[in-house]
Amino acid sequence: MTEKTESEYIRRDGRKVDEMRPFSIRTGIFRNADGSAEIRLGGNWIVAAVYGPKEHFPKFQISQDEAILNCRYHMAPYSTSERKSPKPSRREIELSKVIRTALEKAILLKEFPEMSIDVYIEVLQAEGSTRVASITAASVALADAGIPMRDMVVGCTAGKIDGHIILDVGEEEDKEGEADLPIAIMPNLRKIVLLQMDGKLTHKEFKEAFELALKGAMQLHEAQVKALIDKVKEMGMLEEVRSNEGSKEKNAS
Amino acid sequence: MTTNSLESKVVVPGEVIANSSYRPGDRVIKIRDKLYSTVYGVKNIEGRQVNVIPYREIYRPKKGDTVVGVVVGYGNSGWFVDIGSYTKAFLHVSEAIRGRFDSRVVELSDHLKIGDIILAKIIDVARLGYFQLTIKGKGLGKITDAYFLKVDPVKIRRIIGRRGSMINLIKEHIKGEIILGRNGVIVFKGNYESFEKLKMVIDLIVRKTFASGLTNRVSEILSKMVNKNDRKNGE
Amino acid sequence: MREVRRRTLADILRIKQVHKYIKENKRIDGRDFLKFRRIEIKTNVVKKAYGSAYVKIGDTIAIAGIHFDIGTPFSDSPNEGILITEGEVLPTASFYVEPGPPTEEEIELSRVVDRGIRESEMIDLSKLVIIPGEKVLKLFIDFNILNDDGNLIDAAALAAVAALLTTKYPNPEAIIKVEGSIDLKEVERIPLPIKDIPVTVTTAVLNGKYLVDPSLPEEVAADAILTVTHTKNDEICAMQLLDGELDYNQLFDILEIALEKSKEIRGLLLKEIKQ
Repeated sequence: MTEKTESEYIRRDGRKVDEMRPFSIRTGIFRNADGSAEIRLGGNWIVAAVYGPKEHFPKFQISQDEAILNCRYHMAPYSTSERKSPKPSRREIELSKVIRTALEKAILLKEFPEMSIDVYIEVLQAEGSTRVASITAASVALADAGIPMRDMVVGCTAGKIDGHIILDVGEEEDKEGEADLPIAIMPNLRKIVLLQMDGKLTHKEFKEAFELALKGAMQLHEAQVKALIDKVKEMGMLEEVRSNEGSKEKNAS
Repeated sequence: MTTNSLESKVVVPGEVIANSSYRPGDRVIKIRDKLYSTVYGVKNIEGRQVNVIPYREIYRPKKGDTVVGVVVGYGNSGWFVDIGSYTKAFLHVSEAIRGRFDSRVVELSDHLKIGDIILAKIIDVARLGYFQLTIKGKGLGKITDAYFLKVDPVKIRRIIGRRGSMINLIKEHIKGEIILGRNGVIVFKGNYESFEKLKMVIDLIVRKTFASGLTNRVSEILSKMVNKNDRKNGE
Repeated sequence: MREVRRRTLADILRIKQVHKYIKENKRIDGRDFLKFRRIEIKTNVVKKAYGSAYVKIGDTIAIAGIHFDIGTPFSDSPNEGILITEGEVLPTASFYVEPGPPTEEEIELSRVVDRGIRESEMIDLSKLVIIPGEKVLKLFIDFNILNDDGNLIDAAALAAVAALLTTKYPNPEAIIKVEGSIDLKEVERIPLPIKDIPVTVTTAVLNGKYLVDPSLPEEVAADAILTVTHTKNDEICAMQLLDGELDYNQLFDILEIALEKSKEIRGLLLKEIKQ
């Protein structure tokens, strides 16, 4: 593959091989949750909410050592081209597990023995790479909730289509491509906490894909930090008073 | 590019906030030769120690804390109380009633019912099991007829202020009784207008917690409020 | 959500506040008694669905999405398409919601929203027929509550109606012409045949006072909660006493209030749709 070929290849949605889709992250979007965040990545629109740390039930299940992390990844019926039944599918259950085990590595669970922390991810619109976008939003929601973590968690995908290694796999590319590689990392500690692969890649191709995914993840990490700093600029209000016209906040700042 | 001084103090989990010439304080961990924040909050340096003050945090009771809770259940010899923490608190009958409690004669619910709000003190924080409370003490006990505000427990420290400077300032200007629970509950006994004033002030403190000159700002607002009232009453 | 047995300390304190404020003839958020909280309506928020809407009433958030599928008509209505409404309160919405099968409240919520749309005959179901007696379109209205600060019904109903008003559906005439298997998504789309615009208004009664659009603590403190749906011709097409007991005169007072507010909300909705 000559450099010329790489720079000339245009993807189905017009992107270059190392281009992310447009993305943005916001935090503090739900009033009731202890922490919450929203991510848009291309056509993906995903929200995450955190409740906890809180008392865990049933009591016989508690760990005297550390908190129990519950995680649910779920897709709304209107999130896909074909209506999706609200009942959890096997895919959703697998992704819930994979996301949970990744987040467990970052959260300082030992600070909350006998408690539980609940993470709820809802995919409102799906367009490829939902699990890495979900975990990226979930990490921001956990930080928003004040949950102590060793590091943030951020994810990104890379893949292979038409022989080219690409960054941030879209829905069509996932269906028609030769490989799909979702990863999630703790960016400051430089550790991998989620890693899956689908398809066929040579070792050389894998290395290229992995490094591309890392680059994308670091870009998303910047957006995570920005979301948390932006929220500080509009600090929350008292639990007792609910925003009526919204004007109170505008007047105060 | 101007840097907002507040922005430069905001930190997120995993962020490097100092080198090892500093000591790791609250919510800071040391890995090799760097200090990292573990929470979303504000960096705070005290001498050679670096702390992070979180924006929100679950309430962790300490012995001696005054808290406001709600009775949620009856036990064998006491009441279960929710104090908004990660487990319930327990108020033993002997910490609530003088003399002996004879369950053949009197019911627990005759003293405290489910839904009653109480002002209590933490007397024990056993690692496993419930926090232990007492309502034997001056001012402690059932709270009837009051207004309540709930804030994140982290904010209570700022509402109290350094050596009580903030809360004393507020008490000077607002007529009524203000009680602060360490678990983030503020109790107010007074009239509706005074409560609305208190709400405004607390709202400002919660929003601008880390802003410099906050105490002065609050003082200004409180003086304005009082002046308006004086004029209204023709004093 | 009203019937939750264990509540957080913060919520219990808010509920006590409602009672105290009522004595001063005030609501805890300073609203007029007959005023809705700030309403935000956005349509076309989920591109994969045929229609969608995002509604925020105060801090309560609802999203509705419309999907289509092909099916066989019910034997007692061979010349009508099928309407299916299903809603879920997401675990993101509140401390008390756990993932699991639909609760009584969620099912009641879905059915009340459905009733408003069905009984008002908002959609001309005869225009959803492909082959009479054999093949019809199934219209799925799915909605979710993302944050619960009370009055889920008005938020969900408003989101469902706003989504339907901006939905474009597969033209049955184009479907008949296709031979073999069909990808519904590829079929030419036309606007849904709308015959009415039902609007739901919920009112709580507390100490003899009427509170329109109750927030969560107001719902819990209320003596009664009544939901009324009106058509654009001022007819009542659905009602539900959600909780509590109502005096006869209170019923008729609330009906009047609901009618007036429904006109306001319908106006707001139409303004939003036109943009």
